[in-house]
Amino acid sequence: MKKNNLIYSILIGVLFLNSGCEMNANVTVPSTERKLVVGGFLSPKENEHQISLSQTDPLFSTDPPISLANVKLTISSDSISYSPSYDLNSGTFQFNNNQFNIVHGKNYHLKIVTEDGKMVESDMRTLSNQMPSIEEFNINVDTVFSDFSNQLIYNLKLTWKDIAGEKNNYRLTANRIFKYSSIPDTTFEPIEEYNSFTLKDDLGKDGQTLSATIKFEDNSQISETIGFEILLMKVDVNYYNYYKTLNNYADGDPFAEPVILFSNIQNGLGVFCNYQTIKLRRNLFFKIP
Amino acid sequence: MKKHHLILAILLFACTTIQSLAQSYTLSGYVKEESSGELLIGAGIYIPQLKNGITTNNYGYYAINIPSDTLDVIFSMVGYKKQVFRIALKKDINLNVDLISGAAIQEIIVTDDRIDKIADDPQMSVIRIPIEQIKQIPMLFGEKDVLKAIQLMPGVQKGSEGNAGLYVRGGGPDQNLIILDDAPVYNAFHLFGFFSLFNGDALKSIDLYKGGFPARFGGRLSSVLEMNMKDGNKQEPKADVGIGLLSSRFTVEAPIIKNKSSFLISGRRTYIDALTLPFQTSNNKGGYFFYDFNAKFNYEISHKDKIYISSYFGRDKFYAYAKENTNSESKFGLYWGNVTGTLRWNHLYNNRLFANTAIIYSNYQFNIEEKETNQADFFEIKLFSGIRDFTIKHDLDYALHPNHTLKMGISLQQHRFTPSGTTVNSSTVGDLVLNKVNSIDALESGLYVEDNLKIGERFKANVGLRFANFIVQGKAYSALEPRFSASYLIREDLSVKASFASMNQFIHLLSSTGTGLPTDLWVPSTSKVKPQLANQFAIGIAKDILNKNATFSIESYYKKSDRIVAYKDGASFLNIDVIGDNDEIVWDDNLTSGQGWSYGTEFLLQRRKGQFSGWIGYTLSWTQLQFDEINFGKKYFARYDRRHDISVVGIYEIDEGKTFSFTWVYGTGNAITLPKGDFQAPSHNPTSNNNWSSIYATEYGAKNDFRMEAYHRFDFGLQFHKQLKKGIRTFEFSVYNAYNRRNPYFYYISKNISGTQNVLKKISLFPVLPSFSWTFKF
Repeated sequence: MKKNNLIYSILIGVLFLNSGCEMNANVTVPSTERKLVVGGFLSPKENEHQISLSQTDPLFSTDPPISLANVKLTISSDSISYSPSYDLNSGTFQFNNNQFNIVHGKNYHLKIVTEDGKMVESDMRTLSNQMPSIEEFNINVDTVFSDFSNQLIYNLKLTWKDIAGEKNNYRLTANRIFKYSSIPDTTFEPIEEYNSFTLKDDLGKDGQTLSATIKFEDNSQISETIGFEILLMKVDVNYYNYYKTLNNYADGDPFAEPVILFSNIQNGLGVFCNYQTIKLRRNLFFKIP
Repeated sequence: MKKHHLILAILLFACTTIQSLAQSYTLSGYVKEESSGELLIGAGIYIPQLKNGITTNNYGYYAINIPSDTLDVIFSMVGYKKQVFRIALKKDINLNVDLISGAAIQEIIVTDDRIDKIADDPQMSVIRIPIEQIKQIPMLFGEKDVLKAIQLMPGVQKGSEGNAGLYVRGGGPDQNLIILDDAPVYNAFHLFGFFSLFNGDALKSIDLYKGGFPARFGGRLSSVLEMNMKDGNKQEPKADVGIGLLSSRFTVEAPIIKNKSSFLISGRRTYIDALTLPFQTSNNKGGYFFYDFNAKFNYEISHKDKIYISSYFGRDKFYAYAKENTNSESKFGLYWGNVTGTLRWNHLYNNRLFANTAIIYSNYQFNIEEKETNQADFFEIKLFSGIRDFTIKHDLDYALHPNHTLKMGISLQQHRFTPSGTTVNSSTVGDLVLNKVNSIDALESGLYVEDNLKIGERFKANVGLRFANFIVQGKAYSALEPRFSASYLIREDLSVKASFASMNQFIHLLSSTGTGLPTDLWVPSTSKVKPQLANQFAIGIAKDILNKNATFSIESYYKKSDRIVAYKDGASFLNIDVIGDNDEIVWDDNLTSGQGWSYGTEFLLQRRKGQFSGWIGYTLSWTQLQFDEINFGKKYFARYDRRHDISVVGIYEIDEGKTFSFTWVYGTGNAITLPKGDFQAPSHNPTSNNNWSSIYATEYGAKNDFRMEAYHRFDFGLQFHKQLKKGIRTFEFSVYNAYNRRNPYFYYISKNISGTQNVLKKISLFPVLPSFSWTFKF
């Protein structure tokens, strides 16, 4: 990290020394208009559903924002459709299975129209009801010397059997369950913490045993890890492709290659997709030295 | 069936060869420059009666089998007066020839020899620029740079303003094999890519192969830049001193034993650090400089044995020092550089069989050092990376037959890649708290054979085959690489040419878009990142315009590359971990493999000698890439895809004492990915009740779908030469970017003056820049 900072400083220095000539570019900038951004992560296993809607902020445009006050969303499957109302505060459309049911193995069409006529559409097919069978969930702990101190590395490894006969994509994510140790007299409820995720597909391994590992570096001096919760999600290809590109995002590094986010929203950005989850929890049964 | 055909062809070849051998003799020898004894590379030996000829090899040696007869033999080279010998060949003859240089006889040499004609040369896609011509081309800060001169030729492009990197026929700068006296050079740049390592004063020849690669070369996909250092004057001591705005240089060469042994030492150093010194305090100072040295020694043991020892040593140093009080100080340094060393032994087994055996060392290392001292305590950290090679090679030139000259050889190259190394010392913890070096060893080998053949009076070819092998961490890769380059003479001054070359590249460069930064890191192929492969076809027409002493060529090429590597989306050279926690390779997780297509047509009208010399080059080209993990698997234009590339170079000798030169270049803008907007990208949080959140993201169009402004620039220079009592003085005044074109170096987005709207701004590096230099040669 120190090396990177040094190199970065030098690069900036070199550019600064050479940056005497600064002026407006004599080139036509790409014409961009505001686009609607949709986030629909739906699951047939859930009762409540929400679809987010926002808009882009073009760099080279002075167009006013799109009015979302009277925006209309229509979700439909077969001949049934439903139009939930848009909550401007949360930026979401919300509905439950009583209003419109999301079920396995069906095609869904999404259509959003704003009052000024801007329209985005998307399609997806929900996953089958089958879920992979978990074979093993292991937690290994290593101690490594890094940044001039010892750190604990938890390797969470999940092994599962892929569903044969269908192309499957998975997302694995985990939560650390911990309690604060700075106030020993007080008992805290375990707190879940979002940490990390891994993507996996069954390309060339249909129906076989798959495994994925999530590494967690514990350098917290004020909390004690007492266990982990791991979530195996079967996700559709849109979800998988979207997260594959989202996973590449590198914040704040001007030398990072640009990341073009996947989208299956026609005329817009974002994703309309579905998933199913298996959740496993395991407390640490050993005392970390 | 195919096997039988092959055996039959070999037998037929052997029979005709043996039959002809019985009636032919060998004419052989060395061709040297008369005034210095310098062996001449690429000098032509032509026999008009046979309409056959060859050129001297890299050691000035030639050998040709010719039938017993009385024949004229013409020795010639661009810039030298030709010599003609009438020889009655009744036995093998050894004929050493001294050519008189044009400069020495103070007249313009105009040769009309076939051998100087490009129409007759089976090799295509090769660029040769005389060193003296490079010294006359106006350049940035007056610094004569061979790589920047080569950038002015068709099919070769520069990456960005002022940068010395080469992009040859759509290939990246990592795909160029740069060799100096047989030693590979891994980072060919000084000053963050603005200058190349190569000091023109120490060089004898520069050849750039863009395609049709002879089988003796391997290991890179796109080009071979072969440079040979001067041997050193064997007749009398000579010196050359030059003073420029940024650097000064010297070259000394002299005989040790006249006509038997000589040496050359050449050095260069910049003084940006010295110029900024008056503006610094003793407690806070910093600076930058680079220097390089070339040295060569040669000794002729006998007519049959010669030894050459040559070396290059160069360093860039960027440093800073701060002293807070009498007890506390900190030092910081960034150093990088190359070292090469070559020991070569030339041996003549007999007149027909010339051998060169070489032991080669090459090392590139990049270091960062920081030391903080507070009273008696100190903390010191050193980070380094690099690549080191040991190579042994043996090459043979065999004049088998009047119509067959063979080259064959073997090379073994041991690479040691050091992607990362760390040493930490601290007085508070103990002497040495950390010493971790991660190295990867690999063995690269090559075995080749080439035949320069002639069928009839019109068809010439260089046909070869190379076997390449690479072993790393128990994994072995091997490949057969066929090579072919041929010409068919339609008329005396017009030929059609064709070539094919298959190339494999076993090592990869983790680079910051090829700008030549010292952080660029060479790494080997692994089980995940396989060797890169390219197949290139080219066809062309070569025309000699004899009455104008000029040449014209058109070449079209098509290159398909496979398994080429690129950073994945989001990857950054700043944040690449090269070695994981358990010492496993992890850098390859940041790369992805894909395909590339490059095709185009190059036009070149060139005049290498005469009162008005130079060239006009034009390239029309396309370069597209496809990676499964980039741009959603769709094809896109490479960053340096350049639809039009034009260069005009003129050198006009006004009179004996004055030379005017100019260059004008034009290139289509680079293809880049420009942000279009910002948005909150939805993100799914499966553990939350409110199951979505968002992250700040940038909206892009397709990969590299935006074109930067076209690049163009005009430079000119005026040289004044004067013969003084003790030597020749040259004063040069040159202007870079004479019409002050603000070419974009990079773009960024900023608010307009009123702060209401985003605008695209550009940073351009070099406005109009005059420079002066002074050279004295004695």
